[in-house]
Amino acid sequence: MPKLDLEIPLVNGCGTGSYLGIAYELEKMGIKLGAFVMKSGGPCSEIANVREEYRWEKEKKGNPNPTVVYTGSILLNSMALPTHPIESWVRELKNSELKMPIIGSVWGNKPEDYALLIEMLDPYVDAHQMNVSCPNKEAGEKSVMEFMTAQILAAVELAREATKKPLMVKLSPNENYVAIAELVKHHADHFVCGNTVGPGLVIDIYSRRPVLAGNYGGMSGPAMKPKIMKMVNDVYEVVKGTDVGIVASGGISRWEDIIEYSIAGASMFEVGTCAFIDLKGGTARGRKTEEIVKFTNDLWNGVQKFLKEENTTLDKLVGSMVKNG
Amino acid sequence: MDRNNQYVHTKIEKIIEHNESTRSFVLEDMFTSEPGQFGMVWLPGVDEKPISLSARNRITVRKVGPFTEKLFEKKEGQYLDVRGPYGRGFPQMGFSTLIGGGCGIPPLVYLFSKSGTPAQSFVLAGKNKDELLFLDEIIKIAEQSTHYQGHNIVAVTDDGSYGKKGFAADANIPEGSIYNLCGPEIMMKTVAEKLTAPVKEGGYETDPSKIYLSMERYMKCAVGICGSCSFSGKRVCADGPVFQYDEISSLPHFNEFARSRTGEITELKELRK
Repeated sequence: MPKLDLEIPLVNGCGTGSYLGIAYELEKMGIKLGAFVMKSGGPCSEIANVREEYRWEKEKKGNPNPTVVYTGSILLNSMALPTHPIESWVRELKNSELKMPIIGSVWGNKPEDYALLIEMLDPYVDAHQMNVSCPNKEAGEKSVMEFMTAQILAAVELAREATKKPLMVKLSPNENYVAIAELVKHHADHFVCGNTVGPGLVIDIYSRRPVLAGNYGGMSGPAMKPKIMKMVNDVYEVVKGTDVGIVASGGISRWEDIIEYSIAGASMFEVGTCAFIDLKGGTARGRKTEEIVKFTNDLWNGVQKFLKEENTTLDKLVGSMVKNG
Repeated sequence: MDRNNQYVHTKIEKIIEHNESTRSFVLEDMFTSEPGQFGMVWLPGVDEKPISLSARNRITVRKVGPFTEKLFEKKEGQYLDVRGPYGRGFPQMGFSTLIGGGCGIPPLVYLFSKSGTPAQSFVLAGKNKDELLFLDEIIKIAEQSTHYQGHNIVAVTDDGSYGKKGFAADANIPEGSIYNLCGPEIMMKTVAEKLTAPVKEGGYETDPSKIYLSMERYMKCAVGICGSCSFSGKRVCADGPVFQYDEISSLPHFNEFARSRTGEITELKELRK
């Protein structure tokens, strides 16, 4: 199976940056990013019955604001998968002027959704990410992304048949990811570890309401890194000796984090929260495009410098952790 | 100033009614900011929206939908939750010209009131006199100015109820070293086109990098990560809201497209419906 081989194994986290226009601006300013991951497309279509038994809605609105809250140490978000018709994504991808590879991403309500979405995006992307792990819902919403393990297996099997391109499965740190990785490892090329953590809850003491309109939100940022570090290492134990690669996605804020993740078992890396948001001083402030470029390039330059000084390569570091006891 | 999570929980000291649909809320406690930066106002159980600052501790709002209707139910002495400041504000330079249309006037008043920026000219445009927000305050600031060259105030209205009859671009715009614009996108585009046009066509031949525009889009996170407020590849909340004209004038989305709540690229005129 074709594994994704990027010039630089560093990409944006799915849902951060989100749109190709933003990637294009970053590229114009010289960002060192191996590929751009699009925000998840989903089972929504301009056509009432996109295929007979499917019955997709035209759109899914997602939560009203507030959709993010920063506690001073952890960022929570509850976008809840706002989704427009997939045809609109196809048009955007067709018109893309991006030079770097594009990684498609899709979410579904049922296993079959993934395969159909992947089929529709396939001509325009270089790899596919399957989001089977978003912890966020609209307030009161019931059925989104509450998959049983067997359904994830079915979704991945069907998706595998729908594309010859690299298939990346984004696992949840909040489920039994070891069992899921065991089950689907023969059909996936990469595991992304992982989605946001939790979800968590932040209550406003004056109104007695959750700050997030969706009540709960997936947690991200540097504080999540040890949790995801263990997840990477656990999943590495599952895929060791196979061709399956691990993509670390959780709280990367310094170049040292990339080295640490590679030692834990990852060979690709996603930056999201810390690349787009400056979290210094207990407040969250959006970074300007040129600041995102500098942040990302500094990460990669730091990694290169370390590898040179230590006379090693990322390949050699992958899974090199020496466990105690 | 304490923050409760990301919010400043602050008492409404005073409410100023400018006209039927526009009010200012003077807040007891507020974060520091630069003119042109914005805040997000949260009404628990309702929604959260980006709001203009017309002074460090004052927000100015026009009633346009369910959120602002709820906001207008707030009384003096009650509380608001505000987070910010966000984004890049206006450059503060002497001998500059500020051009504001209707609800675009508030952030420019904040800029105008900053001491130490001499000889700014102010062009106010609105449908009628009621829409020339802060006219009295602007005149007062100008009168009290101790700067040698003073301030030049120009007003235009669509119906001629105050100043010359016409749109912002029809005004006799005083020349400035830079131009700071805030108002409807079409107004800002028309004015910027006039400012950059050749002199023989009635323009000013202004370098586009000397013209600054404050942009507006549907906003969610306000911290640059979600992409909702992006037009072409510029994120209003983090790269803006204030942009140089040459940064955005050739972008396909400028004055044409915005992303809807679901992130779909939509014509601006569709969204206004």
